[in-house]
Amino acid sequence: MAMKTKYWFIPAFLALILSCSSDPEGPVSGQFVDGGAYGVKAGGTHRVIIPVNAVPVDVPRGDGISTLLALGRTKGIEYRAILLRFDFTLASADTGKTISSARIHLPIITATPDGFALPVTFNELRASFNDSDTIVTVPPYDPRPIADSLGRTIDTLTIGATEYNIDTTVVNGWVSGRRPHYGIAIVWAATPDTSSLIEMNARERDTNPPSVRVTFSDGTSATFGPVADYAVAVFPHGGLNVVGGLARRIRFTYDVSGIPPRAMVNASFLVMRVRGGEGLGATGGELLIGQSSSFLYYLYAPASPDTASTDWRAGTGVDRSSFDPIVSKTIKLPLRGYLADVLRGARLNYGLVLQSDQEVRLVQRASFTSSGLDAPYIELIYSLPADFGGAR
Amino acid sequence: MKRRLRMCIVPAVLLLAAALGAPASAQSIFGLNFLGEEQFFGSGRYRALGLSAYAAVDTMNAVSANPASMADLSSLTFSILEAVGLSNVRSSSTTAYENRFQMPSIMLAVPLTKGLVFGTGYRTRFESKGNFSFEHPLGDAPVGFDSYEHRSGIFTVPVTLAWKPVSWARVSGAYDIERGSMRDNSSFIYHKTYYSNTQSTRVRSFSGSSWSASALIQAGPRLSVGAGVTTSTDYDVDETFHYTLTKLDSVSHFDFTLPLSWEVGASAGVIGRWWLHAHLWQRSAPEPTGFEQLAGSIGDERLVAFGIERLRMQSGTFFTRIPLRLGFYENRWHVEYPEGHPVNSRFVTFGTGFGLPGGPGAIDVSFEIGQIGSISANGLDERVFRFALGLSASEAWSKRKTVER
Repeated sequence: MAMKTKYWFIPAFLALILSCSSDPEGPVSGQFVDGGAYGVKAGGTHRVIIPVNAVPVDVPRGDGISTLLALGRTKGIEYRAILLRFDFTLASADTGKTISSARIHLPIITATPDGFALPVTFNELRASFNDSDTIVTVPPYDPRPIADSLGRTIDTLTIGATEYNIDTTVVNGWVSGRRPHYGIAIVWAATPDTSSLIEMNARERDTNPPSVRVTFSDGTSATFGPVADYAVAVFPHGGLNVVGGLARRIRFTYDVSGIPPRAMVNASFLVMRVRGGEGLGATGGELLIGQSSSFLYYLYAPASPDTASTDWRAGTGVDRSSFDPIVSKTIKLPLRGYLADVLRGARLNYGLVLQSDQEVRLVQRASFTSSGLDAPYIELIYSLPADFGGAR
Repeated sequence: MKRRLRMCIVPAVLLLAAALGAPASAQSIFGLNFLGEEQFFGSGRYRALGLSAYAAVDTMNAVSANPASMADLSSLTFSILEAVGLSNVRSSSTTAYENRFQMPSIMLAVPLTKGLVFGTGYRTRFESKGNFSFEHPLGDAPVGFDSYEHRSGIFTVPVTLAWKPVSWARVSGAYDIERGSMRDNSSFIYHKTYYSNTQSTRVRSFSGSSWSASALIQAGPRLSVGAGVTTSTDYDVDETFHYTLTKLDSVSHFDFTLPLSWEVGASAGVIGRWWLHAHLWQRSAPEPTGFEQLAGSIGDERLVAFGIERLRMQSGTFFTRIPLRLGFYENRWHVEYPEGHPVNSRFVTFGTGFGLPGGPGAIDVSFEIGQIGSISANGLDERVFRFALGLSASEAWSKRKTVER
C-alpha cells in the first residue's frame, strides 16, 4: 500500500510543476492585435517636443553665509568688493588704552592663478550693511582709502601676506566710538584679469576669520572679530545662466494646448544644453576646503505667474539633483508627475523655474545654450487610451 | 481509516493547491478572441475517451459529462478533475512555447434517496489567458513595450438533481448559475527611471443563468444512449473602463446571449469488454454583441467525438485489471479566424484508470495530443499536449464496492 501511495504523488507533483503557467506568446499574438480580432488595440505612444521660452530672472536672495570671501573675476562673475564690519567692543582691562599699531588680518587661502596679486584699497563704508541681504552693488564708501602706517593707500593682496597695516587714528576712533564704524570695503585698485581670484576665510567658516589686531601703547594687544562680512559679486552678462549666490534664476514658459486632452503621460523632461566652458562649479578656494563642484539645482513650479511676487519665488518642487556645470552636455531634468498634473488640470501652468539649490551660500554659474537646436525644450512622451472597440 | 482518508485527501489537496497557485488560463491562444475556449465538462475517463463517453454509465464520478449519470451514485461522492497542458504555438514565422493550467472542475454528489442524487460544484465553462507585448521604439527615447494582458473565466455553479426512476433510465435537471469576468489590460511599459507606465483596462462582469436537462437510457445490456440540452444563457454584462487618466473612466452595460446547446451520445458494447462511444454536441452562433470586431466571424460550435474502451477485469495481470481508453474528437470553435475560416481543434486521447486505494472511488488519467487551428487556414496553429488527472472518492469507505466500468 505504501508503494501505491507514492505513485499517487508522481502525477500530483507533475501537475503542480506544470501548473506554473507561462505566456511567451507575444510575437504570435501580434496578428490578432494588428488584424483587430483581439478587439483591444493600444492607443499608441507619441513623443513630442514642446518649445519653451526661457528668460533669466534676478530675485533678491543673498549669499551672506558663504564660507569664503573672494575678490577678482572668474567665469564672468566679478567679485568687486569685500565688506567687513568688526565688533570693536573693548575688554574692560583695555578701556582707556591707546592703540599704537593696527593691522587688518585677511586669512587668504588661495590665489588663482598662482602668484596672482591684486592691488586693493581699504575704504570706510558710509552706511552699514546686512550680510543676509543680496548686495549686488558696492555700497557707498569714502573714496579716500584708509592709509597704512606709512601713508600708503594701496595694498596688494597675495597669498603670502595676510596682515595689512592701517592707520591707528582711524582704528582708535572706531574703538573709542568717536568715529562711526559702518564697516570697510576692500575694493579693486585696478581691474583684474578675467580669470584671477583671491579668496579668504569668511567668518562663517568658524576658523581664522578676518579680524583687526591692535597693539596698545603698554605693549598688550587685542583682536576684534567680524560681525558681518560679504563678498559683493555681480554677473554683468545676459544669456541663459543660473547663478547661485547672485540669485539669478531661469523662468521657463510653455504652451501645452497642442497636446491631446486624452494624453496619458509616460515621461517628461526639461532638456537643456550645458555650456561647460562658461560654467563655474567651485572656485579654487572652495575646492581647497572640500566643497563639491557639482551644481545642485532645484526646479520648481511657481505658485504665481508674477515674477515680482513672493509666490513666484516659491512653489512646488519638481526636481532636485545636480550636474557638472563645467562639462558641455545635454541634460534632461525629469518633470516627474508635474506635466501630467498640468495636462489633467490638477495644476495651473505658471511655467517652471530653475535655480541653484545653494543660492544663498555658494556662487556658482550654470550656462545654457539659449537658441538653435540646443535651445531648451520639454520632451513629452505620452500614450493615448486603448481602443476597446465600438462606442466604448 | 485515517490512512485511507489521508491517501485520498493528499492528492486532492495538492491539486487544489496547484489550482490556487496558478492563474486561470486557457488551453489555446485562440481563446483570446472571444469568450475563451469552451471547456467540456466530464471526468478523466471522459477526457481519455476523447469527450465521447456522454452516454456511458459511470457509477464512480460526480464530474460527469451527462449529469443524469449521477443518479447511479449511492454514496456521498466528491470528484475533481484538473488538467495541464504544454503547447507550441506557431505562425509562419514565429514560435512560442507555453504551459497551461486549467482550473479544475469539482462536484459533490449527495444521494437523497435511492436513485435520487443532488449535486453541485464548480465547472469552468470558458477560459482564456494571455500576456503578450511588443517593442515600441520611439525616436531617441528608451524602448518601451506595448503590453497586453487578457484574463477570461466564465464558470458555472450547477444545482443538479439526478433521478433514476426505473432501472433503465436516468434523467437530470439543473439550474446553472453563470458568472465570470473578462479583463483586458493594455499598458505602455518602460523599464526605466522617471518613466511611468500607462494603462487602459476594461473589465467585463458576466452574470446569468440557464437550465439544463439530460437523459441517459439503457436501451439494452450493451447499449445506452444519452441526450441533453442547455437553454440559452442571457448574460448581463457590466463593463468598467479604467485608465491612468482617471477622468476617462467610464461604465457601460450590454446583454449577451449564449444560444441553446444540445447534445446526443451513444455507447455500445461491441465485443467482450470492448465498448464504443460517440458524442455530438452543438450550439448555434451567438450574436457578436460586445465583440463587434468579430461580426461575421462567429459560427456554430460543434463537437464530434468517438472513443473505444476496454473495461477492466477484476483479476488477472496488471494490464488486464486496468481499463484502456482511446478517443478522438474534433471541436469546431465559435470563432472564425479569419472570417470564414473556423478554428478547429483535433485531438487524439488515451488514458486509463485505477481504483482508489482503500476505498470506493477512482483515479483517472488522460493524455491528449492534438492541434488547434492550422497555419494554412488560420495563420497559426497550436500543437498541444495535455495531461488530466481526475479523482473521485466516496464516503462509504468501509463498503468497498466493485464496479465494472
